[in-house]
Amino acid sequence: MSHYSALATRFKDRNCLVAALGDVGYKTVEVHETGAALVGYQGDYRDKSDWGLHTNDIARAVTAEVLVRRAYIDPAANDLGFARGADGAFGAIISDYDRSRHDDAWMARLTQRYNLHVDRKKAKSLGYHVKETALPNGAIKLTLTR
Amino acid sequence: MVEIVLAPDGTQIVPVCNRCLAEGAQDENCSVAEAATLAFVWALRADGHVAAVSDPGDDVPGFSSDGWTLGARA
Repeated sequence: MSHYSALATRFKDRNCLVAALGDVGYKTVEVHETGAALVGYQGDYRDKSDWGLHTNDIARAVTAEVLVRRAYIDPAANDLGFARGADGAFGAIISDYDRSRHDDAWMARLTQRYNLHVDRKKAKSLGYHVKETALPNGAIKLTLTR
Repeated sequence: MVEIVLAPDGTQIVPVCNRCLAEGAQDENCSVAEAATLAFVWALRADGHVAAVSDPGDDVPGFSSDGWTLGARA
């Protein structure tokens, strides 16, 4: 398993994050209240004190509350995780090996889908009807009416 | 009616005037955005879901670059 790195996000709504992951192709997502160990393609873990160190001790493993297991990504992939930080946002935990597939463009797409779910949820809670229109440039226009 | 554009780069774009943006206002007489739009944006911001990242005057694609835009990234 290659080194894990953390990417800051503003994802604070867990359900919207899970829905967004589903939109980008990850329909099977694990959610753990207290976190679960991220597993690498060799079945090992990364030490939470040094994300470059291998360990077989699960108690020392890097953990995340929202996980996509490697089996649903690619046989050679490592688990993808999102761990809630002190600011309440779920930081993405992505192995260096998987950064080519979970690159900045992928994060942008995930963010767009996350925003869509948050906006839709908020709009409905405020009593709006939501109409979505896909624009030619890849953008999505939300029209909210009461 | 509220209109928000979710750009492919993860930015959310809504039309907001500089004064409303600066003051966090919901000006019913705002010439750029309806009060409902502003109320929705402030509601999102209050929940911590968006943060203003663009200064008023930034040229945000999708709207005319007249300085009346707010970009917000999740």
